[in-house]
Amino acid sequence: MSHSDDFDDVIDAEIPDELVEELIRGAFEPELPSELMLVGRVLRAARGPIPGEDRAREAEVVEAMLAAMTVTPITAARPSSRRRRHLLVAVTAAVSVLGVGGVAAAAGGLPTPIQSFVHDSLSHVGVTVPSTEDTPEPFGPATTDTGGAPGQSGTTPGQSGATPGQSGSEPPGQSATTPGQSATTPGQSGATPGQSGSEPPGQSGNPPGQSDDAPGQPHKEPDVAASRHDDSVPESNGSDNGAGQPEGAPGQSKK
Amino acid sequence: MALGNDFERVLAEAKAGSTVALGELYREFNPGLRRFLLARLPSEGEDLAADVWVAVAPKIREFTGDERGFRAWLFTFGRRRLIDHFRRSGRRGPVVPLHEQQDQPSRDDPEAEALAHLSATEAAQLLLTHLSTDQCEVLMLRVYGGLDVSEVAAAMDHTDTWVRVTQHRAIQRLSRRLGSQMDVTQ
Repeated sequence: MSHSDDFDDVIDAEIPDELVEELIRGAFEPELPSELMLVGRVLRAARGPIPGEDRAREAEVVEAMLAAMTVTPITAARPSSRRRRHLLVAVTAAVSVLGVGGVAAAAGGLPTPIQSFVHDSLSHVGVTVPSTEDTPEPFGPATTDTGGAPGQSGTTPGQSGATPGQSGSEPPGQSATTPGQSATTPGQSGATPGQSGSEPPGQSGNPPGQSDDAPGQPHKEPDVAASRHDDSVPESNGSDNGAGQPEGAPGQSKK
Repeated sequence: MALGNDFERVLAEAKAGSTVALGELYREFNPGLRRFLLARLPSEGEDLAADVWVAVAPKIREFTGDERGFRAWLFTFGRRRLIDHFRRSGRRGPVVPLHEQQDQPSRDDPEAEALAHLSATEAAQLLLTHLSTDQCEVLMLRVYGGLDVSEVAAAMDHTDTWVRVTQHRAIQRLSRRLGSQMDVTQ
């Protein structure tokens, strides 16, 4: 670094280090060269009192400091982080419930009364869901188990993810009934049945906002479908520790 | 005057929110901080010092160290506040011609007149006028803050060597300028 070279030059040629320190400390040496004596006086003068310090100011500042200490970022951040956590849990629960419920409904694996209820309801909107008579046997118990295990529906996407893949291999009518798709673009879902199978379960239930934005789509329909899917998987709803209750609540009252 | 052995206790009480302890810290450290900020920003240095204390307050609980460390920590805050202020206002610092700030010395004994009646504010203005921003800051942190070379280096994000070089150059420059000014006034 060139600075250190400069430093050596300065020290050797000009002012000794100790003298610089003394000047900075405000030492006054009468035998100093006149230029340095002036520097010494200026630096000593700089240490003198500055008028204008008042006690009222001190009280104000200390009060403001106390206020700043009580309103720490920790207390300010807590509610927002908690809110964020609640939101995350709610979204996860909703996605899980819709995904698992939708897949179960598409596969016809819901309990008989619920499956027929979903079948009847969605058939009015033009969405084909297998009735209880059409339900293939292998998926019935499997999806019922998935929904029945409290922790599994929200925490094991692998299971629910496997089901859509299977439903993708199912007849088009069945796989097209994934709730997210049926809520957003019913026409498309019928045309591209394989999508529901390849789509992660979370995506199907994830965009409630999108379903609202879908042109020409009745706004209430997705919510109805969602709440009914919530109904269809009451156990998984309970496993979400109440986070999914706002959505599941209407369905429960219908029960 | 330093808090010395009391510093640890005062700091602990201040962390617990004691008004008395916060007041002690303020009384101990504010004069230097205020002087440092006033020297750089005569019109707003007072308010800026208060801002620094309020900004420091929530972080006092996180501070660990001794009295010197606290002083250096506080001045680092002060310096950054100052830089922020200058950045916002689009300037690096006040540029005040010396002749506007300093009374004209008497013709009878110019040197004595000029320096015997030099107030702290005028001395600060002299530093500010004759030195570069870095040189001025180094000297002010050393003189007003009482920081040593390492502490100034930490506060300014530079090396110790840089601080030593800068303060040497500052003193050289100051001595040259003051000497030549005396020659002119004589």
